[in-house]
Amino acid sequence: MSVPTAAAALLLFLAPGFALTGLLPDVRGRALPVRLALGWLLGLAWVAGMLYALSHLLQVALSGTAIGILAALPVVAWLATRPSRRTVRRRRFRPLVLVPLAIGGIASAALFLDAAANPVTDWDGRMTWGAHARHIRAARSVDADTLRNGRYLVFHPRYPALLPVAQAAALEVTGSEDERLTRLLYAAFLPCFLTLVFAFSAPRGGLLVACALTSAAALLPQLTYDSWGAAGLESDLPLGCFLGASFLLLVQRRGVSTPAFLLAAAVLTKSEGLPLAIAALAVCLLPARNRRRLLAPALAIVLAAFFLWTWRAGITDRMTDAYAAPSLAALGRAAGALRPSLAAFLDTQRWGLFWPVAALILLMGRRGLSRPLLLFVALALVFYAGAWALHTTAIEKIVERTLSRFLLQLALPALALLSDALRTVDGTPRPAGGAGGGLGAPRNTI
Amino acid sequence: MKRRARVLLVLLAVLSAAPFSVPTLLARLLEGARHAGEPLLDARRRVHGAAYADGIERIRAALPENAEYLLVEAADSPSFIWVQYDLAPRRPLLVGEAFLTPARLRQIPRPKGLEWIVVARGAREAPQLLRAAEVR
Repeated sequence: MSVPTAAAALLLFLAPGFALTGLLPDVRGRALPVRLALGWLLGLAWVAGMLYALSHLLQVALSGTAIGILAALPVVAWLATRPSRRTVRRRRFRPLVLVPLAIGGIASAALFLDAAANPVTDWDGRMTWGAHARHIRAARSVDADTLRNGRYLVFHPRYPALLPVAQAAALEVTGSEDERLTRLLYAAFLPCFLTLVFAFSAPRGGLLVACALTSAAALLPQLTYDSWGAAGLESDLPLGCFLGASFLLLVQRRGVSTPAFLLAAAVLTKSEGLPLAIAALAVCLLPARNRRRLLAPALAIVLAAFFLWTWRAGITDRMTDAYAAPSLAALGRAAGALRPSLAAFLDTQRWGLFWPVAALILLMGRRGLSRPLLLFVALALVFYAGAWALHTTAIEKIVERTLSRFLLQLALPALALLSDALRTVDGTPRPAGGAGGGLGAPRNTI
Repeated sequence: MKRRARVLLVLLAVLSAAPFSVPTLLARLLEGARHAGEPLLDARRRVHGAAYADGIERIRAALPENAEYLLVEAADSPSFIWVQYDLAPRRPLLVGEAFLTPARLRQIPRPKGLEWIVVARGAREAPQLLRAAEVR
């Protein structure tokens, strides 16, 4: 795989996404690294999401021309309008930032080189996400007969296909058959995630805390080189980015257009996306003053869910997870999740000693924790426990297979909670606007 | 005192995973740099084994992209998961169960018009392509 091919695949999403950050009013004036990170998410949501919708609803072929036009649209619109440049306040350079920059840079470089050198080796990537992408690309349609027809052996054919569509688009545009190209798309979520960790932590906990948490995150095995993180073709980290970024932006009350895009993408990324997006929105809807403001994100979730439902309706379900009907026995099963959950938190191969340290930080800084964030994490955990309780696989096995991935889905709000806790350990007051109770956080901070 | 506690916690957070991840990260960095620019087939041979990678190439060359085949698992491990990905978009047929052993193949009615059978034989072994008519 040549460098220009790899660059073309990444720019296919980054260029329109960056243009969108120049068009959407709620992210327009932000710092360049934040615009690049959000641009990656927005670009993927735009290009792959529109291809997904146009292919299913209007039978538009996933051709190089269609992909090119979709990617070019935001860029042309941005260049044509070039909205009045808002001055980004230049901040004094703080040498401390070099620490997460170096650690995150090394982790990202290692991941990109690994992805560029080695083919796909992760179980779920080969079984599900990568195979779906190949069938979609060959049919040039998200309604590939191989996915829809029960005659063919396809695992989890109804899994949301945003990321497989992105894989297919990258391969189609570059005319490549190189599977390592698809790994690069997932690897790009690591620097994106780390940038967002910094951006959301800094206003909550200050520079030291943001640098520490970004560095800590860059050193988490699960995130940086485990196949369940950014090294495989799993959709959990992308979901964590879409969901976490949209939720934290909504909590910060910094506009709704970007969160609306990202919430729709979360719904189309993974089956857990819909319930988690609803939970995120529900938490933000609690203060009555937010209700009218959140119409756009709510509409985005509804439209994405409706689209997903119509797409899935044409697919014969097979080779997928089995769930039992809710019952009292399921509650007992959920209680059985405690021990394997503890084991997953203490799995040093995946997390080092991060979670015990995180528990200590949360305990010491518990007075500063944001209630909306706590509520969202609690709702998500209840949802996961419910899914485990009803899943027909032995509880120890299903927890072991899923919890570490679920933690990635919640990683951005979890790290924001740690920022709150670290801020209050030495008695520093909570951020103005009431991160503890309201939905406010300092404005104009990222 | 509280400020010291905060700094200590911050340090603990940064270092909590470092001993576990730094050696692997550096190893991946060096290994990735060493193999950068390697042709895909060479990379596949290195990672999956030459027998498996070359076996997949032979089947890819023999079967057109829209071909249908029946996938049989001859190993104890589910290596057919690997094979179905590497042969995609060629289409494996589903006949009741995914893990189709050679013994089970003899018991089930074959799908109409079946022309090809692919036998997965383990993670690093070459999968085998057979004409359905020749398999009893």
